[in-house]
Amino acid sequence: MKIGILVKQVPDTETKIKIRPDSLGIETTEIKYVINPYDEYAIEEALRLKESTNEVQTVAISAGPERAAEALKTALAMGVDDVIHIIDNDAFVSGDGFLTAKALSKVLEQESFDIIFAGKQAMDYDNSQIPQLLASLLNIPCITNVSEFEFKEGKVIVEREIEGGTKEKWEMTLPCIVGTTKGLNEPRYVTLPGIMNAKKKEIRKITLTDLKIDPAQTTKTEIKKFSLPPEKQSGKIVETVKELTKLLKEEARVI
Amino acid sequence: MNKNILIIGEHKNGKIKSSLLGILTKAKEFSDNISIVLLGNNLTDNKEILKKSGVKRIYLYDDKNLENPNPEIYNKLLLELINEMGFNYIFALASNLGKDLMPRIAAKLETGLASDCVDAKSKNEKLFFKRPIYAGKLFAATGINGEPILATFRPNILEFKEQEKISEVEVINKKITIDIENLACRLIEVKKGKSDKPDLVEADTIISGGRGVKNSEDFKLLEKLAEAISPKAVTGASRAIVDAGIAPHTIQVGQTGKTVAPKLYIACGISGAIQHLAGMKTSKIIVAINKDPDAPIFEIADYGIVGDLYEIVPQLIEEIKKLKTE
Repeated sequence: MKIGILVKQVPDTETKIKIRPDSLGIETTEIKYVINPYDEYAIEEALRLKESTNEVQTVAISAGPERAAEALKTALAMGVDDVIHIIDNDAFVSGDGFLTAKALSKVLEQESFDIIFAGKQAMDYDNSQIPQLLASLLNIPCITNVSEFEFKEGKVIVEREIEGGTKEKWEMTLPCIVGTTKGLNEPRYVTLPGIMNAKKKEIRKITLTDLKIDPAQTTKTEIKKFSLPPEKQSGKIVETVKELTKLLKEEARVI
Repeated sequence: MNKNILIIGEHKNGKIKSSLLGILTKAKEFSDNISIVLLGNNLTDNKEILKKSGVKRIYLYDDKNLENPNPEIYNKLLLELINEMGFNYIFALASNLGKDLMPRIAAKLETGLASDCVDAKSKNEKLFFKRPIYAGKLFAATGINGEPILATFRPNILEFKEQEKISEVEVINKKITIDIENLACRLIEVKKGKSDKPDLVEADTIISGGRGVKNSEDFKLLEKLAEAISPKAVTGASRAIVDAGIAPHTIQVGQTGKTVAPKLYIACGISGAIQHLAGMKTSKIIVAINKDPDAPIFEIADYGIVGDLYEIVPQLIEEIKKLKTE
């Protein structure tokens, strides 16, 4: 069985994000990058499946600039067998879902995976689109926000929670896509042997030209301007609960 | 410029969810030609609310096979409708269903989708969507290079305003013409949530607890505060107490939990870490109760009170009860 894992490199959530003076992007010089936390659940689940099943090959794929190779090296160090880097220093920076999905879909088609694990969203642009876009482009089933996974009798059974605390159990035929979220598993740490092993592995590189994709035609969203959230007016610190209640009723009108 | 707008509706027991009504008002800013589509079982035509919303027509796909949303089925039906009617803008809630459906539609139509938007404006015949990025640290003004223009909106974020003119609403009942057997994706079990209270992402009032809450017994204090304010008020929790087993993950608010936008968010014993703020920053009124006057939560709170939640919350419950009996 062949398993694909989609991985993205994103800024660490603790990093301060600054807008460039021209408002058309962010300052990247002081950013610490990490593997997208939701993708770690994807890698972990793929590795668990590999450990519990015969003859499973795992391949992680990332679409991003040169630095994204670090995320792929982390995947290798965790135990993933092979990695593919769809590399472009400009096209993927704005996080356009359609372009990313289109590029990934061409590679996924070539690789012929049985199951594809992907984090449900990336913590930079928070679009939550990739697994679902791919489902449509590849014409395969997809359930995202998955917190429980089972591979049983050639089918994938997943559980996810939707609004109101309702839990749904879905069955999907192969090939399929699973969008992972917190609670699915506890991702393993990279080990020293893993890191040493990763150093020996080659990262397969593919360009958009190789995939015959023209980013200008394929980018469907555009960020025209980055801005800071509006300065919140200083809140009122109140001394008494009585005062607070009065303000909430008469001024804020929320009770 | 009368754009043809479709809103993908969602319902609870056949009635359109109140958390999406604001989208109807927003759509009216751009056009008079607004339609809504509802898929499910035992639907109602919702004419009463739609008449006051400026919506011209509702498409109803009412069938027992649509009881539980299956993205494959819903997607096929919607694409049929979209291809038939040729909409210019398609809006939906950034809910589980909206997130399931809209990217699928975007891919099939080879167009762009702006997700989880908090606002939209029209400028020179172009639409710009405002959406939070980097866990809400920044906003991006996003444009779409494609047609139709697709967008999902954060539940509860847009204001609903009744239209001055009551309009007539056309009800169009649609037939299910697709194969509902042979699905690659099948729902095999549903365990409905026990509560009849609204989901966190749709709630108007949330009382949320953080590290200051020492155990699950004490968490009940927050439930009492919620009850005192409204039967529809719900409780939320920070990651710290979810990880500590004091509150369930289903009510976790924050970057790895839910993103909420209630009218009132009361943060009890929550310090205000970036990851928590990511999930509740767009709440309309934020109240912070914390022992530590330097807690970052006070920086984004509209009202704050420095003190122990174990003293403050019971007092607050008393004062609110007094208020209600006045």
